[in-house]
Amino acid sequence: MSESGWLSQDLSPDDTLKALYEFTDAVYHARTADEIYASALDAITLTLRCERASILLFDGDGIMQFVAWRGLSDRYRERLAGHTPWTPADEDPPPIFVPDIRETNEPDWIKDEISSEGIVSLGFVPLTLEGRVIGKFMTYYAQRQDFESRSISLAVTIARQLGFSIGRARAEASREAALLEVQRSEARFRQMTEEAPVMIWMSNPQGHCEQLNRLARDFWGVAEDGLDQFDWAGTIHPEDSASVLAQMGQAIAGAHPVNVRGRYRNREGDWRLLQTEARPRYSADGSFLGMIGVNVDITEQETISRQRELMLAELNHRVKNTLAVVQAIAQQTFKADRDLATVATFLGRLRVLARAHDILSGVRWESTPLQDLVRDVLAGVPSSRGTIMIDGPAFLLPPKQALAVALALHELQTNALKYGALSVEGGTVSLAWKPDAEGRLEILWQERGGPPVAQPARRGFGTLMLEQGLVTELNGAAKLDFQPGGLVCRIEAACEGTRL
Amino acid sequence: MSRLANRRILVVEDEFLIAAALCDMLEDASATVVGPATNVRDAMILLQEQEVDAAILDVNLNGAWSDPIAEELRMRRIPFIFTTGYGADERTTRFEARVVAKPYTWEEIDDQLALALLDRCQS
Repeated sequence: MSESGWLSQDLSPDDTLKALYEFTDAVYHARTADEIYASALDAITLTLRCERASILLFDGDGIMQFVAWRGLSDRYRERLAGHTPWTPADEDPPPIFVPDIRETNEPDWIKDEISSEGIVSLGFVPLTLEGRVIGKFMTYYAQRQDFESRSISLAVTIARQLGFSIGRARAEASREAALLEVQRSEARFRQMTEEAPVMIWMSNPQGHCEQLNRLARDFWGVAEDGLDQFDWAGTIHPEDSASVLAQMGQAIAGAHPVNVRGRYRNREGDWRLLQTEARPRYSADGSFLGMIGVNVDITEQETISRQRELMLAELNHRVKNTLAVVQAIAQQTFKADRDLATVATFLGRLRVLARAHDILSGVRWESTPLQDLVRDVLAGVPSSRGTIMIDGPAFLLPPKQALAVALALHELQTNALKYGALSVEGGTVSLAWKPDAEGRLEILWQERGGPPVAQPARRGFGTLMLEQGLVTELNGAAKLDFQPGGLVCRIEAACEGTRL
Repeated sequence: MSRLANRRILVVEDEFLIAAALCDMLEDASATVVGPATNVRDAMILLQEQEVDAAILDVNLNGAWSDPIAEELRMRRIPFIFTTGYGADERTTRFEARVVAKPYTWEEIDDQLALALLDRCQS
C-alpha cells in the first residue's frame, strides 16, 4: 500500500457510476432519514475510498451534530460535534479537503483529537438545501491524501444528492405533520358538533338539509348517509308548518338570521316543540351557502311555563273570588246599615286591594309600573268635582310595596273626596313622584283649592295606613301635613324599584 | 227611581254569599231577581220557565264554563254581563259581552247592566 493510500486504488469509472446509481435508487426508495444516511454512507465510503465517514446536520440551535457515522469513537464525536468551517447562513460554499491535519493552523487540541483517532487526512463536503448550508459529510483517512479533481466532483455530486434527499424527507415530514394536525383539528371539531348537547344542522341555499349532528339524527331517526332522502319540513306539525316554513323561507331568501319555534314529529312519532335559531353561512368568497342552526327541545319548559300560567290564573281567580266572598259577607253582615259610610269605606278598601291584586297578577307578581297602579287606583272612584294631576317617570315597584302604595293612595283619594280638594269645584290634587340618585322614591300628594283644613281629632285607618303601614312596607317614611291651604303628604320609600 | 226598577234580572252565581249579596243589591234597586241559579242546568230551566230582561252571569260555575247560558241568551237577544275573577279573556271577548271583575261594587254592576240594556235597545 503506497503512502498516498486509497485514492490510488480508485474505483473504475463503471463501478463508480454503478455505485452512484445505486445511491440514487436507494434514497429514492428510502422511507426514513436513517435509510437515506445509511445509503449515503455506503456511497461515500465506496466511491471515495474511505473506511470512515460521517454525516452532520445543524440542529435547531444551529450546532452541527453527528446524525450518522462509520468507524468513529464516541469520544471523537463528542469532542468534535459542533466543529464546522461553515454557519447556517453560508451560501453554497466549496468543499474543503485537508491532505494532512498536522499541516493546518487548527488549534492544537483539535489536531490532537483527530490524530489520536488515527486520522491524518479529512474531507469537509457541505450539504446545502436551496443554496444554504444545512450540514456536511466528512471523509476520514488514516494516510495523507492528495485529493484529485475527480474525487472532489464525486464528493460534490454525492453531497448534492444527499442534500436534496434530506430536503425532500424534511418536506415530506412537515407535510405529514401538517396533515396530522389537520386531521386532529378536524376530529376535534367533528367531535364538538357531533357530541354537542343541542341539535346542530346545516342547510343548502334551497333549504335542504346537508348536515345533522348526532342529536339531530337521533331525534329524527336519520342515518348519517340518509340525509339525501331526509325531508325535515315533512316532520313539522300541520298547524305549525305554514308559519315555520314561511319564516325559514324568508330567512333563506334574505340570508338573514331567524328564530322560530314549532312542533316536530320525532322518530318515536311524538310531537316535540323545538326552538330553532339559525344564521346564514357563507363561503370564503362571500357567497351564500345556506343556513346553519341549532334546535333546542323546549317541550318540557313550555309545558312547565304553561302550567305555571294556568296556576297563576287560577290562584288569581281564587283570591279575587275570596275577596268577593269577603265583600259579600260584609254586605250581609251590615245589611241593615247598608248606607253607613263606614261600610262603603270598607268595601272601597277591599276593592282597591282587589284592583292592586289584579294589576300584580297581570305582571305575574313581578314588579309593577307605578304609573299603571296610580291610574288604576285613582280611576276607581272618579271625582265629579276636583281634578288630579299626575306627574312622574316610569318606575317599577316590587309587589309588596305596590300593594301598600295602592292602599295609601286610595286613603288619600277617599279623604280628598270627602273633606279635601276633591270635594269642591275647582279643587286640585297634584300627585308627583321621582326617584333620587340613591334609588329612593319620593311620592308627593299636594291638595289645593279645597275647604279650610284642620288637623283631624281622631287618627283613623287612613292615617294609620299612611303613617305606619307605609313605613313598614316601604321601609321609608310618610308625613301627613294638614296645612291650611290643603293636605300635603310626602312619602319616602327606600325602594328596590327600578327606574326604566 | 232606579234604572233597573221592575226589570227581571237572572242571576247565575255559584258562590252562595256573592249571589245573596248581589240579589240584595238588585232588590234594593227595585229589580226582580230571577234565580239565583248556581249551575248551567238550573239557569237553562229558569230561562225556559220565566221571563228575563237581562242576566248577570258568572263565567266559571264550579269549574264549568257558563258558555251554554251565554249562547242561549245571545240567541234570545237578552242582554247580559259577565262577572269573573279571571279578567277579560278570549271567552268574554267571544260573546262581545261587558265584563265586571270580582270583587265588584254595586255601582259597577248597576252601570254595566244599564249599558248592556242600552246596547240591546240600540242594536
